[in-house]
Formats: sequence, structure tokens, C-alpha cells
Amino acid sequence: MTEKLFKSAAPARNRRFVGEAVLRAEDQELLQGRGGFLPDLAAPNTAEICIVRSAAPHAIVRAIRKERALASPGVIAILPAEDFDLVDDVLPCMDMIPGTLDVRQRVIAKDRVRYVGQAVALVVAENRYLAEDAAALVEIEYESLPAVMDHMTAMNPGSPLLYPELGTNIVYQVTQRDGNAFFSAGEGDLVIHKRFEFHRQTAVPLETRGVTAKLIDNGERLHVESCTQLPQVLRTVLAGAFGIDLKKVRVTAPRLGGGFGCKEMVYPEEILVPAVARKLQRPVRWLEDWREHFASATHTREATPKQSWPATVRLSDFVSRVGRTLARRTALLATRRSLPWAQWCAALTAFRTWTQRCFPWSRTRRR
Amino acid sequence: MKPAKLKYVRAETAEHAVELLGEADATARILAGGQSLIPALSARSITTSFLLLDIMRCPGLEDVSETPGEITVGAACRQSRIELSTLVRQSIPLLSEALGWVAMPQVRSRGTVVGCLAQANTGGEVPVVSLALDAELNIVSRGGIKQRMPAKDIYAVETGTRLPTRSLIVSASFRTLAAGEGWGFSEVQLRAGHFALVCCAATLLLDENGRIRTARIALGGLTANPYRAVRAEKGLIGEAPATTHYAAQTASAERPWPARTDLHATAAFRAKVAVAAVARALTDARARCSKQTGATHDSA
Amino acid sequence: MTAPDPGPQKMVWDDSNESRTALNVTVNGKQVQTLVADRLLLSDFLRDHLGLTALKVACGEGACGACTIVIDGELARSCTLLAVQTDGAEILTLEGLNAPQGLNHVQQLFQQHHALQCGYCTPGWLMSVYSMIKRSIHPDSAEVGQYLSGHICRCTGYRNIWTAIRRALGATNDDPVSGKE
Repeated sequence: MTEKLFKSAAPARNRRFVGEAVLRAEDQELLQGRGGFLPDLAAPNTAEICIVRSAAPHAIVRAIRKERALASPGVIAILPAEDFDLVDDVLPCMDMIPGTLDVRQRVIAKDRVRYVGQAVALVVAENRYLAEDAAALVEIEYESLPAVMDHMTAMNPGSPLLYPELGTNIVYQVTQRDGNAFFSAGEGDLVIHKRFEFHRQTAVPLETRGVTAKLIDNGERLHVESCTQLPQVLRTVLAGAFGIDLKKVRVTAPRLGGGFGCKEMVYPEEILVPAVARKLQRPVRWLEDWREHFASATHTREATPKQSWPATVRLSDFVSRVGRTLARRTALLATRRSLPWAQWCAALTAFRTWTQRCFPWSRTRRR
Repeated sequence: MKPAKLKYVRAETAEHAVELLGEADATARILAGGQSLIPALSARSITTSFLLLDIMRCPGLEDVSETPGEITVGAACRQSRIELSTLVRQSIPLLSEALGWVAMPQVRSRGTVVGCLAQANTGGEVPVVSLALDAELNIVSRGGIKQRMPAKDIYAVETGTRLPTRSLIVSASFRTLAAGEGWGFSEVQLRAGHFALVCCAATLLLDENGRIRTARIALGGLTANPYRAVRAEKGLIGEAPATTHYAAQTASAERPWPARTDLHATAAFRAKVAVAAVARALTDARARCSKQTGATHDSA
Repeated sequence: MTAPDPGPQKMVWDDSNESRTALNVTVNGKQVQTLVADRLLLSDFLRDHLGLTALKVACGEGACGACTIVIDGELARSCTLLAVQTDGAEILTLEGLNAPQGLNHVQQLFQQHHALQCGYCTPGWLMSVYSMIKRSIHPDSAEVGQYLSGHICRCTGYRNIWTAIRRALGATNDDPVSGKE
């Protein structure tokens, strides 16, 4: 088997991997188009899910009317939050360190939506075409609330609160000091100020997200396939979400069409789609479409758009004449939208750290 | 992103298509290449149940014909075929050049030239060329009424077209270049295959003294619909070819509608880029003039 | 070590209000005669009705090229076509280009030049390369860049794909194309 992986014709006894050009073992299947990505995997009798998502950035959900949608051809179910029976209906958060407010996101919006793209109801139908027809007929009455669109505004007192019961939009704030806290500018020969701004980004893999779920072993176990970079974690989360034994959950991560980190999360859909399979006792599938991906997959750090705030990252370096950095002050302000998985929460929230570091004259010490 | 319910009908002839259009309600549409229409259906930006009339099998619509001073391209002619056509490259090279900028080869194999004219997408290249080449569209309406509409009338609105409703464009006729007439096409795209941020199609014809006899400058992308920079054109008549760069400023400034700002670029940026695009197109046109007459007319 | 054949998952359309049209096409040399919903996209017809899952649906708008196939000898985006538009046509997908065993010549070049990582965009590229070879496009011509612009790859940064494609078009070196892109 390893013979085929070497490009060179060196005799077998001389072969080593290091320094060799090695061909990839998976290329054959991929090049023949038999990669077995999640959308390529089919199971009989699988229903398709289309998700009705909030078009409002911040609103109270007053009513959801599903009669017209239910009458649409090929519809199996229309499922808002009340139809889901989850033991744990919030997404997990990895770093609920002391002092972090608990703003873990609901897997499906109940009485309030907090971002454009938040799931409000799931439509289950015989195929995606029919599911989208029905989704267009679900009537949702929103009462708009003032929206907070950037972290600077979100931090201001008096700004609309995404979680009024918590009294603030700031989820976490920390100041870290290392060494001599206040370094006098006069002791350095040069002070360099630099500003860095980073746009909001998202990974945009070519393969969008997707989840399938079905009951196996005579309905005893749940089998979930997901475009995930963390199948083991997802399995643990699912067991907790449904209050079942870990052994009753099987998660498969099929070949991934790119992740780049944005599939390194536990997403609401990865809990909702299996919940539908359990509820309807039928295999189901959800494939994210391209436009949906931009609204509902996670984004990463964003600079402040306001001109009045100088930068997202402000560095001040105090440098000696011979080029040694004596001290550094950093102000960092960032927004993470959505998902509590990595940090912070479903709404636009901000964290600010103000760090000072001080390095001794003779050497640089990194912390 | 799947289309809503629709009904698909293959029209047997152009007249049949027009008849069906006339009978249907306002949601009926002509389907040719579908490279704009189908994605719009998938995104459900066009909603409600409606009728698609496929004209690609109608006899005669795939013809490319030559008459004195004119090349006529049928409504079923694919962009790639016209781009690579020897006849088109010889007689109206401005169109083949511009087609090379339309989307990507994988889309041009399906999309049609006439479809571009009907869609009038902002930043579309073919409408700009249609203005520079004094194109006229051959249209059939209800009752078999035939008419010929100049492109400049069709795009004489800020957005959309003034095509008669419930009508079918059966072909587009482009004026062939005169002997010695130079041409240039210039485009600025954010990335290959995208719509034009700005594009310009220009032609120049010199008189026996080497001065500009006629000029055509058509600009697209700067405003929602393309326009002919008639003041700039007039200003060039009688001038030496070397002075064409002055026309570029006028061409951008004389836009009949406001310049566009969108998520890709501001109006101010587009206006600046437009000047450069016009200048480039005119420079290329000038160079081609010289070649064809065999004499150099550029002066310092 | 091949992935199990998923088999076709026929889409269920249990609705008498859905307009349908007869469709007669040849796909990878085999004739297919069926009745399909008018709005069924060609990409879904090939993937879900015929089980030809090499082509991928990514952007669904014709921009990314992952769904590229060949119809009557010309490249086309299967996601911007209704299946019914292709009546009477000959459709070729990657499955129709695969060698009986192992990799065909172009696929081998892709492997050797590490022109794929996740592999999601790869079937689309291979169709474009097929067409470029048929048209005898010169590896140094500006047209190469034109065809390349019709595909998005999020993994590789394109360089290795371009190298592999140039080789497939007969280039004997890996020097970059000079001048126009």
C-alpha cells in the first residue's frame, strides 16, 4: 500500500517518508468524485428540513402561525421552539470562566430573536423544494426592538440590552497585568503607537454545513452525521441535550468539504435536526444553502466601524534606542457574533482587555 | 435555494412564444440561456407560480446573418459561439472582445447575446456594445407585430428597459465597422467573471486628413444603465486623434443619471475609474485606426 | 478502498399541482427517459435521481463552478439549468470520464501536483480541463486564466491546480504565464 504513495522510484529498502514526495491516499476517491461528502450520502425515506430564520436583528416573537404552511403539499411538520422537548436547549460554552455572564444561546428562538439568521422554526417536508414552499408560508409576527449593530454602541450605558435581565451587553471584561504596571514614557527612547483593524470574517468553505439524523438499532440509538470538525464533542453534547446515555449516540463526521474553523463548533442545527428525527421517528436531513451560510454560520472578529474609536487593537510600544521593546500597552476590543462555543454569546457583545507588559532591560520574556 | 413552482413550456416558434406570452399573466417569462433567470428563481427573488417559455428550439433564432452594413444575431445564439465566430471577429470585433469579459467560459456556453440585452444587468458588457454599434433589436409583439427598436431607446431609462411588455426579441442587429474604423473595449472588474465596475466601448473613424470624423463612446457600470457620451463624441469631431484623452473626462461627467454606489464601490470611485476606462478604450481605438489606414496620425 | 455507492435517492414529489414534463436525455452514454418536475434543477436531477454525486452544489448560483458538467460537448453549470431544458441532450459528468480502474491521465496529474485538498471543487475543475483539452487550448494562452476564473477553490490557493492544468494541456515546464492573466 505504501508503495503507491511514493512518487520516486527509489528501491524499497531506501525509502523513507521524510524527504520524499508522498502522494495522498484519499486522492483517488476524491478525483473520481466518490468522496462521500455529507450531501452525497443518501438514506431511504429521508425527509428534508428547511429552517425559517429571523430576518430581524432584534425582535420579540409575538406569534407563529403555521396553518398555511401545514397545508402546503408534502409537508410533514412545522416545528417552532415549543415543539422541541430538549433536556438542555442551550448551546454549550467552552469557557464559562468566572465572571462571564451566562448568555448561552438557545438552539431555537423562543420569545426573542437576537440576530438575523437565528432559527425560529423548522419545516420538514418530503423534499427541499416543497420544504422551501412551506417555509415561505410560515407567518411570524415580530415586534421589532432597537438593534445594536456594533460593539462600541453595545458597550455604552443606555444602549439596547440583548439580555435585559442581565443589565449589560458586556459579557466579559478582564485586565491583565504583568510586571511593572505603569511604565513611564520618559524611560524609553521611542514610543510607537499602532492601530490595527480587522474586518468581520467568515470561513466560507465550499461545502456548506449539513446534518442528517436517524434512529438505528430498532430505534434504540441515534445516528447523526454532520459536517463537523468535532464529532466526539458533538456526541457528548447530543447525549446531554437529550438526556440519554453516551452509548446511545453515534456521530459520524463524513469527509469534509472544507471547514477552516467554522465547522469547529456545535451549532443549533446539530441539535435540532436530531431532535426532529427523534420526534418524527424518521430519518431527516438538513443541507445549508450558500446564502443561509452567511447568515447562520459563525463569524469571527470584527473591527469597530466607527471612526471615533481609533482602533480595535491599539498597541503602544516603548522602545529603547537599540530597538529593545521595554513595554507594551494593548487595548483590544472585539466582537464575536453568535455561538457561545468559543467565547461569549449569541448577541453582539464586546470584550475589552487592557494589557500591559513590561520587559526587563536585558532580555525579552514572553508571556 | 430551490425555485418555486413553475410551468415550463417549449415554444415551437417565435410566434408561438409571443402568443403564449400574450395569453399568460405578468409572471410569464422568456427562457433562453437562463443564466440570470434560473439563479434568480433559485434565490426566490422572483416568486409566485409562473410560466417559463423556452425559445431555444424555435427555428431561425439560432441564425447569424450578414446584410450590408449589419450583422444580425438571433435570440438563441449562445455567447461563446458569437465570441468565437469568425464572421463576428471580422466584422464586429468589438462584440467578440466584449463577450470575452462576460462572466466565465462555463457560463457563456449557455447564456445568449440577446439575453444580455434583455436582462440589462448593471455592468453588463453587451448593452454597452449595443450602444457603440448602434444596435437595433428586432422585436415581435402580440398579434405578430414586428418592430425594430434602437438600443439607445431601449436603455433610455435609468434602470430596466423600455422594451414593450409581452414581446420577444428575436434578434439583434449590430452595425459593422467601416473600413479603417478603430475600436476599443475596456473594463474594470473586481475579479474575473464579475460584472463590470465600469466598462467602455468606443469606436473612432478618421477622415482623409487624419482627423476624427465620427466617434462612439458608450459607458456602462457607472450608472445603472449604459449611456452614450454624446457630448464627448461631438467634442471629438474634427479633432486630432491624440486629443482623445480629454474626451474621457467629459464622457464620465456627462452621465445622464447619478453614478452608482453599491457594496463594491462608491460613485466617486466609479467616476474616476470611468475616466480611465474611456481613455483606454479610445487609445485602443486610435491604435486600431492607425493600423487600418496604414498611416500614423498620432502627434505628440 | 472505495467509498460505498450511496445509490440514488429519488426525490418524492407527491403533488398533482406540480407541473411535470417528459425528459429524454443521454447521461454518460446511457439513455434516460423519465418525467420530472418542471422546476427540478439539473444538478438535483443528476445527483438525486441518477445518483451521480460527483458534481457538487455549493453556491447554487452558477458562480463557484462546483456543479460544472458538459452538455452536448459544452461546459455548463448544472445548478443554473432546469433538467427539462436539456431534453434531447447528451450529458457528461465526471463519472463518465473516470477510467475503468484507477485514475485517468488528468486525475493523475492533479494527484501528482497536489492540486486538491478537501476535493469538493475538484470534480468541477476536471470537467473544465476536459473541455480545454478538447479545444486544444494552449497552456500559455490567456484563455487558461479565463477558464480558471470559472472555479472557486477555498483550500489550495489555485497554484497547484494551475500547474496541473498546464501540464494537462501539454506544458513541459511550470513557468508562469507571462503577461496577461
